[in-house]
Amino acid sequence: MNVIAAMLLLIGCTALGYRKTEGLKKRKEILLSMRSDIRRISERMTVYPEPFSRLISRIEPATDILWNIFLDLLSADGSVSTLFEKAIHEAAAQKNGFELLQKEEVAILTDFGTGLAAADLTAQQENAALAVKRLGEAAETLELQIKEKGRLFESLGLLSGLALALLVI
Amino acid sequence: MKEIGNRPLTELMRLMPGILRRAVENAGTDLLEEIRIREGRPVQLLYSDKEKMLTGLIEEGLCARTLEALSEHALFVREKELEEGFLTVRGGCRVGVAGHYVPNNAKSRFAEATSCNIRIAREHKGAADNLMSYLIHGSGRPKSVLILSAPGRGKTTILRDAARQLSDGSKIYRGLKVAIADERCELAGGSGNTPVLDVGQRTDVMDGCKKAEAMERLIRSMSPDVIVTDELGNMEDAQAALYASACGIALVASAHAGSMEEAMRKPYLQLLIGNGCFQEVLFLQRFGNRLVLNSVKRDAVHV
Repeated sequence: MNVIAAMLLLIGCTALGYRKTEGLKKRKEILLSMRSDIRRISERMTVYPEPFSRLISRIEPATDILWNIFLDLLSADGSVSTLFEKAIHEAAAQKNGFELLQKEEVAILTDFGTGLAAADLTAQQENAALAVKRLGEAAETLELQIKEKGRLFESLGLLSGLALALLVI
Repeated sequence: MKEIGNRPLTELMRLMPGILRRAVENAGTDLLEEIRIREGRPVQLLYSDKEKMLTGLIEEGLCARTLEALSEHALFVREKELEEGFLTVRGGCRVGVAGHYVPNNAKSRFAEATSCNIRIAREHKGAADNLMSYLIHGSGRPKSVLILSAPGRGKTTILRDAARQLSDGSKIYRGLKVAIADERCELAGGSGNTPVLDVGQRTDVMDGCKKAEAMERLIRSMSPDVIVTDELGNMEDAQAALYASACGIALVASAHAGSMEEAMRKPYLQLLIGNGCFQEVLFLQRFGNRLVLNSVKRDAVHV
């Protein structure tokens, strides 16, 4: 019985360590996908300026969860900035990875949403360029964290699992 | 005169913010001509025979919200139109904008839009029925006609139907190649897309550019029999109209003027009328829901 409990503790703690690292990787993946989507929207907008509903549909975005919610919301009442912010919250509520984003990472997306209300193409392009830059920087920071903390989380998980297993035995 | 549903209004209502849409629906849309939104003041609905003030609808930021909604949340797509102080909604309804203007800063300029005037476009089949006798020679050849009136009298509605009738033809005359120089997308209601409004089977539309430019391009590329355009407003338009006339193309156009005297005070109209660019000059007047055309040379005709 004790051996089984020890095994479970070991597996559980190790999985917890891995999950923490996976969380960092997922956050980085979301930030990079968003960066790629925003860049493509901006490029498309420069050549074919058209409403977001059409722009987004044409680029087949990588982070379709957020964009699909945003597309649905665009037919509702409210300013584009408010609707984008609402889409971020709804995406987080769906637990598809957006809930893992930290406050400052959400702020990058919210700021991008605020800029979507700009009434001229130049401001839209500058807004997108700024978001792409900030998302890239946030992803780089996460990459460093994955390298430094990722291994630490995994080792800690394994070690604490081992320690608990030994205690149980 | 038969109104066929109201596609411009339907398109407009689809895009309008919910709060405004519901208020307008409750107030009634029959004979609605204008919706005027002013910051901090009630929304004004202008009908052909009355006005209604929606005193229960005084919303902060309603003007900006309406503009954003009507541009399908993409004001930047309408940047050039907004620089001119208007935007045209798909379907042909034109929205005029006023407020604090900040040059070279589009972002602030529209953040401070404090008034907008939504003009409901109309699609009346038959609006130009009696105008047709002025537009077609006995031989079936088209004539050049200038329609003059003060703003909001129905020039665009008549021109749209004239384009449709000239294009589709009738038992008396064959359908003609009609080209519409639609700078503000009001005549065809396309706003960069396929015409929403019925402008005829043989009609080509050029929109999104200055009407003078559109006329020249249409002459070069589409070899039209007739060019239809709205609101000639400057010397550049007049030069393009003269060019069309010199190319043997009939021109059906409109301009703002309440009388012949007023028209002749405008140098570009003086040039056009003086050069015999138009075979007919008509004044359009409106009495309630009835449009009346008066020819300079002929008696009043009821449309």
